Amino acid sequence: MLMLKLAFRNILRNRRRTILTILSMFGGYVLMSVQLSVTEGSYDQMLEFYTKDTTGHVQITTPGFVERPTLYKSVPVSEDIMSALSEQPDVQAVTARIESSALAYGDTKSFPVEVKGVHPGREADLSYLADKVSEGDYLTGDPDSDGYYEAMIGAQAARQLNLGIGDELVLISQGADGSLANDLYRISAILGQPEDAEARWVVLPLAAAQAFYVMPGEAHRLIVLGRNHHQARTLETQLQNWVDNRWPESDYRATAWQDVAKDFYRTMQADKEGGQVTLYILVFLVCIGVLNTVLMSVMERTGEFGVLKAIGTSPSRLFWLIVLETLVLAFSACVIGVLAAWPINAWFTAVGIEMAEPMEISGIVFSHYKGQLSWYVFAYPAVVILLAAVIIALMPGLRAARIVPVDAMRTL
Amino acid sequence: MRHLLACLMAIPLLLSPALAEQNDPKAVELLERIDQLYQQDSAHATLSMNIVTPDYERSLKLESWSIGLDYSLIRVLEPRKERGVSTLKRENEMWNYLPKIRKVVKVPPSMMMSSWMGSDFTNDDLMRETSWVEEYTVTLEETDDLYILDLTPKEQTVTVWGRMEVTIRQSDLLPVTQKYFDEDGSLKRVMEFSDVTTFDDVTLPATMTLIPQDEEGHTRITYEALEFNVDLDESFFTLQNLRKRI
Repeated sequence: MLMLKLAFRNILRNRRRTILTILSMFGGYVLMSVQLSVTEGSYDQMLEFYTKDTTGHVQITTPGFVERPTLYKSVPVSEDIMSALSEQPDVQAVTARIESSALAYGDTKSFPVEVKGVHPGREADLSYLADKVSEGDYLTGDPDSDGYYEAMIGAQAARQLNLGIGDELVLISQGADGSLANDLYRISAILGQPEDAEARWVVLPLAAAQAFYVMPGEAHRLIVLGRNHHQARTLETQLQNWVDNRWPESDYRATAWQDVAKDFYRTMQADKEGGQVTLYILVFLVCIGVLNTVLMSVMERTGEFGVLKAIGTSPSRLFWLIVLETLVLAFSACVIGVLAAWPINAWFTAVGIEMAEPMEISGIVFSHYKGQLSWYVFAYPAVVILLAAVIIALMPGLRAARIVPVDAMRTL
Repeated sequence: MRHLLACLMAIPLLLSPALAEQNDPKAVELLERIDQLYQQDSAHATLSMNIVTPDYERSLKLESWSIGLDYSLIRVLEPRKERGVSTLKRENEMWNYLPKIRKVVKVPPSMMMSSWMGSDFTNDDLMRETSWVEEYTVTLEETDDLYILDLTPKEQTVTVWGRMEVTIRQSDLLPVTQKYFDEDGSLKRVMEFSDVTTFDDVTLPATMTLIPQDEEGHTRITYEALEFNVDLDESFFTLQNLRKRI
């Protein structure tokens, strides 16, 4: 307590210098916190979008399917299974997908396409597929009066095959039983633009895809959307238990999106870590400034410390006194920093900065850099600043502790 | 029948007598003999095809017509779901007819190495139109009761196989096995001939089993009926006839 009192008294002796030092630490804190908030917020927004758009949070497949998809590895699927799955805690949406390839024929031309069999209603609830329709209407899932199922086709495939809404689309491929799969579909919608990821897709209702590939009551992936992508690992474990209970004899796997989209996840992580380097450079610059101040204040007080030592103050006491002084400065900077960064981060989270050019990913527009308001974005910079303060104080602290009273008092 | 299928299977056996000069005359004679065995002017056959792969197993019943190596037509009779699916080959072109979508689809060059009807045979196997003796150099080796013919592609030959080996039984001069090697010399697939049967005075192995070496499974073809020198001419092998409902 006495130490703290001493520390405060020393700090307050030169108020102008104290305020300037606190300000520089405060600036470091706020910049760091805001940058973290925006980075985290943007990645979050992106990942939430990505997982919803493509992988879902957790998938249930046969083992090995996520690494190496093949037509022949399927999981059972029914309304019953999907409802049971969606009643699991933390599960928000469930759908099933069939994925394979086929050769598509228009009137005269052929074009290789990726075929996606989706449950029209559930898919629309889970992913952005319905939002990507650029022309025509989303799948209804029922065959029309002539017995044709509807199909949605990617913009590039449509252009190559010279097909439009209402035209007949022929698909030829191989069924899971080895038979020659071939059927006619009626195009109900064009998806996205020719340069989008889904430009070569043909999307069929699940029932039509099951009939085409001869996979009655089966699909390749069960897609589950949980509360958010951060909790995918927990959900993965939880769903693996559910799967093991539901199908004790089989070895179906629940896989979180981090493993399904391994490459994407790794790139994201690396990108994020790259961004942190700027933060550390910032902290380093702040530290040098603060080090200068602390060192100055120790030098100024050389004589004083000599007297203290002469009357019996121990070197460790002097050392801790300096450390404590610096910590008090850093702590005050953090407290004011939180007060200042909070409204900024809150504003970023709620409103965000508008991008100069909105980014469009498969028909979904990102127009703002968003922030994130979380413990992490406030606590992490505080820890960094406090730690840096301790490190800064080491050198001046040691200097003070090692003072020889006789030499020191000569400066008085 | 013969042709389509026989040509796949018997492909290497169908040596025409041309270009014998660099080959061992006895080897050529043997191949010719086997060639004669299969090479009838025209043929009509009913056959069954049984396909076993790690992922599925299926059986088909087929009917086929052919003239020499150039023309053939194969129709699926069973299973019901695929009844009427047909393949027509005219010289170096090939089409499939899919009755469900009422569409004739030309098989593009890029599809040549894909499976025919989910079997271990490729479209390329069906397409073969020149005799192997023109494209391969033949050497002969004899064991106690077998002749082994070794076929190496000539320089200008375009093929996926690096080498082939045909084994013939000395007693009846019928083929026993045919082995396909890739360019590195490793065995890729083996065709086994068995079940020697007489159709129309012609005796030949009625069952041919193609066994790929890099995965489980096989494709087995069995001739159930086979008649030669039937009344057929080129006008039978038209796109119009391909579309005929059965």
